[in-house]
Amino acid sequence: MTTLRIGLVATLVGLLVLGVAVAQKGDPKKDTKVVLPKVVDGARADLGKLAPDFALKDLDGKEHSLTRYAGKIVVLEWMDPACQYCAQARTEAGVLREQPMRLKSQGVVWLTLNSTDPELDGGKPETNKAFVKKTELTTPLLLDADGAVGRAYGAQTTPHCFVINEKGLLVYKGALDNAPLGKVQGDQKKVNYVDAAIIDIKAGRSVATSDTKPYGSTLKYRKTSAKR
Amino acid sequence: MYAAALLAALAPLTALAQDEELPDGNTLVKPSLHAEVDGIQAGARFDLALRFEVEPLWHVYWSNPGDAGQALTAKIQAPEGFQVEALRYPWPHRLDQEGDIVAFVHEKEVVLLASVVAPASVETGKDYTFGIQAKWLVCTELCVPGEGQASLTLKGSTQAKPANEALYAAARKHLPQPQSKLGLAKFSTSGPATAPKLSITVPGATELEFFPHTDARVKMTGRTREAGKSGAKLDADFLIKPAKADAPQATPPLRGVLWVKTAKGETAYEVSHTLTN
Repeated sequence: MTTLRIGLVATLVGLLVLGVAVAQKGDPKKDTKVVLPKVVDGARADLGKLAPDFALKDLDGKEHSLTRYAGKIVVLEWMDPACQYCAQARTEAGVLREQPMRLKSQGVVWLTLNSTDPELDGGKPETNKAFVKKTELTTPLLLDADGAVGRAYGAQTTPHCFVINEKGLLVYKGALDNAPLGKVQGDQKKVNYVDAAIIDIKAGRSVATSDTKPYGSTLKYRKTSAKR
Repeated sequence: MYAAALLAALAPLTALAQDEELPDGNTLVKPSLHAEVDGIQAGARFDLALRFEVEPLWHVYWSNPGDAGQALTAKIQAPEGFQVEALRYPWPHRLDQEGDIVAFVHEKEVVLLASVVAPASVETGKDYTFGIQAKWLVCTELCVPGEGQASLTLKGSTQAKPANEALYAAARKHLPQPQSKLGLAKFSTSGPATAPKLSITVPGATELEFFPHTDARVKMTGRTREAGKSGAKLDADFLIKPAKADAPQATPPLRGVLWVKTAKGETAYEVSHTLTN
């Protein structure tokens, strides 16, 4: 009986402490932490809404989630080692050699995701490991073998990029830039849409170009029995 | 001679070896250029056919590639004084891929047509050379970009005769017809102005498909189809983005190619439906 009473008191004290903690967290001035919807719960990415959270492992087995990077700007870049657009972007002259590192120095997290069917070459862990070595990839490469995260975000090509602001809101989706294979069409000025979105976020503005059509290789997901 | 032929045959393999295991996008599609006449008469109007043979099991993309992919495009270089009109694409077919990715593609072979008007100054017996520079994304389980060229020389003539007739007959059969030839089709729209639903009913049809044209403000997000004894119906859902502040504010029409299958065969029509707010 005494044990039960002690247990009850301990539970009540615990709840009180938790309540105070929650109340403090609920104060936006003290903590900007938000609870993100989850891909496993069926959440879908939508511009201007909270980005769906996920838990994916990198090639070293380390788990990455949006919650882990709460309060930071996060770039999600879909990639496939068998995609020439992605490979070109990581050559000496390619934009992705320097951009993720440059942004990292500004506190931006860049995650590279691969949702390609593991039955295909581009989805195989060994191909991805070889790609990391060959391109000296510096960003965590997360394998999304069942494609659940890719489908939740509506990733359609490689590269397909998404930018999430410090509040966890999806503020950009689309192409990396207007220069597939490093070349712009006609006389256009080269624009890196991901950089432009981050400049807008850091300046406290809403992202001017928030939705562009992605280019690149069509993403080849693993087949599921659930068809639309 | 044999050495040259052997080298030419090995060229794609060399390219493949250089780029590790990735196939060479330049060799998966073979462009060629054909004229519908065997010579050019002064002031004449004729079509050029841009034929692209696509490696079996691979596909290239229509003028609107859909959710992913990149349109097959070509620039035509014509001799001075010749006017070249816009490329006309045959209707594509729809490819539904995993992850709700819808693409509009061409397989095996695609022939684009472009009209050319010769100047009055064409001289009999003189060579006139046309060239194309084409770019594509060619896909199967992976996608590779590619590019290629083709050229064609025609002589100035006073008695030009038809040429490549079978190629032209087949190519024209697959070009969309004007909307005025569509007959008894019914178009209606419903829903909010920013997310309209376009309903198309075609009496006598057994199957319909809609291929939207590229528009910066309009995106087709889905479509449902049904067919009955009296005809076929298609409902297409669109999303219309707001216009930029410095651009015309009027709602753009819903434009695309309507493919119609009947017991007699298949054809397609250019369609433009203006939304009435």
